[in-house]
Amino acid sequence: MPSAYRPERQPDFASFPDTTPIVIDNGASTFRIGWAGEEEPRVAFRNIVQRPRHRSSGETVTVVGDNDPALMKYFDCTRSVIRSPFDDDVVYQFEYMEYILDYAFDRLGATSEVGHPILMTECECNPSFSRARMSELLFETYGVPSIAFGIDDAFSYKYNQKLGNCGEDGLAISCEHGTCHVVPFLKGQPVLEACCRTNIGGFHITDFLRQLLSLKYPYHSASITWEKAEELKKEHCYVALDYMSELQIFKLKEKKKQILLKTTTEGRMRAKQRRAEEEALREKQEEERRFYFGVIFEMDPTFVNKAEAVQQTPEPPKARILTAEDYRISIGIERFRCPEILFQPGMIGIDQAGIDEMVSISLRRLMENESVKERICQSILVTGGCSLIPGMIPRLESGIRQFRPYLAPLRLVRAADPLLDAWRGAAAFAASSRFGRQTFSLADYREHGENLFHRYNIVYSL
Amino acid sequence: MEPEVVKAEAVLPLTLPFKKVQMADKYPKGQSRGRQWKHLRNLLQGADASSLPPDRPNYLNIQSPPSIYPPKRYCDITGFEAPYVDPRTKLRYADPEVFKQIRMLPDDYVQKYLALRNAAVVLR
Repeated sequence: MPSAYRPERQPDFASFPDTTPIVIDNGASTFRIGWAGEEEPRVAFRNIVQRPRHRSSGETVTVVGDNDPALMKYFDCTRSVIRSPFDDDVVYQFEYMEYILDYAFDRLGATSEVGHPILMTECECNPSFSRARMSELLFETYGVPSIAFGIDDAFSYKYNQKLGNCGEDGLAISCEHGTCHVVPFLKGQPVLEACCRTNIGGFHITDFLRQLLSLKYPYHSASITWEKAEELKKEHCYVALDYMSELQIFKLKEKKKQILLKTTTEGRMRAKQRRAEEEALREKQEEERRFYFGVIFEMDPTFVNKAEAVQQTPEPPKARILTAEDYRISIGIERFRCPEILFQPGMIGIDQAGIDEMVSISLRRLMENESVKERICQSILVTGGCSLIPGMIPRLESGIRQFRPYLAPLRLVRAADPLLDAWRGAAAFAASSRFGRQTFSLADYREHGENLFHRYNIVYSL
Repeated sequence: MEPEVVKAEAVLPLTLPFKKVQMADKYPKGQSRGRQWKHLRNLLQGADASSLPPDRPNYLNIQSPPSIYPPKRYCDITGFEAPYVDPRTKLRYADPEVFKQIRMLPDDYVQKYLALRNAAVVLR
């Protein structure tokens, strides 16, 4: 997807009956919206809001998602920051959320009202204040008849279960934008008592890369933006199978390069010295010649040294010519150093377990016997954007093996499409005829208030 | 608005026909909005911790605990394993070459490198 992708307005909003649910995958990085029962979301955009000032009229305007940089020149973005409604994986800024929903429903083609039930994804154990404010917003501002909330990883797992990638009992490892989750599943239902979360994700990898590069190249620090770092990450980063040995290999390579550099610099030094010696020799000859001229001049005062009479104009000092070196940045160790923070969050000062260890924590929290755990370990699904980083699956496998008994069976699968599966699973879920029982309406919310959410958990196996 | 901005629909309209309450009614123009939102940490402290039974999973108690392994130390500049710490700047470094480099670093860079692993000195 190009960074300046703008979704088109969908023309067929009115052709759907009022009972067809709208499915929203409200991810911290990307917002996806579409219709229940369809295979692809209709509209997807980056979940961000900017409020720049329009240059010619001075108005503050709202821009949602990424935009064509050619259009952004009409806006003064110096004082507006890119904002997200999310803190980690919880929606907490409902003003921004409202702009995003405005834009999403507008792109989906809503004209007079949004009269459809809504299924929206959320994180594991979303705090009830966030759910409450979200439902208030949907009920009161958009007039939605009913709402259901579900966990994105669970939908992704269910979707892959349908595809045959994982079984009824299993485990989902999800590395998302701001957090990583590990959730065990028993009989197709997530066991939230045993799930765990580390507050580290793809955002942190990109940010770490950005900061490292801008410290390494202070000259370029203004042009290494978060978006550029994100592109670099997608293109070059990989996960080392064994971080320590990868470091050793890299260090050896670096040493060789240094030795090469040293020999070449020494060669250059020697050449310079030789040149200096030649220069000195020439100077000496010149001196001798001058001396002879002096002798001639004494004999013949009219003699003019033509060669010296032509005075050379002093050349202006040349500005240093910028070479390719000045525009080039090299990423070496950063390629695997940045994704490593998922496994060692301590590297960026987060005192929590890495994703391989999270699996063992989750299994420990699961109050089941060893045979169940063994079955779970044979159906591990890896999903979320970071699972696309090359080398992720082998590394996770070797990491998890360390916590399991010797020769215990282990099987890891990457989700069919780690980015879209959550939406697809949710769309399939909402298309079921029994979806209606999982939703709650405005009347329910008025009756129970926030208490409604303390015990709110939908049933994923319909 | 410039014609290409209008054509691309880059800007969100102020009123949308499908909304019951428009943005301008919720947040009237010219009224200072101040900071009405709180950080997630404050919101969590206020809401969930007290009202929920501790044996049920909630947003706070599903967090993973610290790792059982001792944290490895890596050089702040090069990323290699770092056996040494510079007592003056508190930066970790891998070999004498890097040590020379960190002694040349200006102070704000030292702080930026420390901030990478959340170890910078924050003056309040």
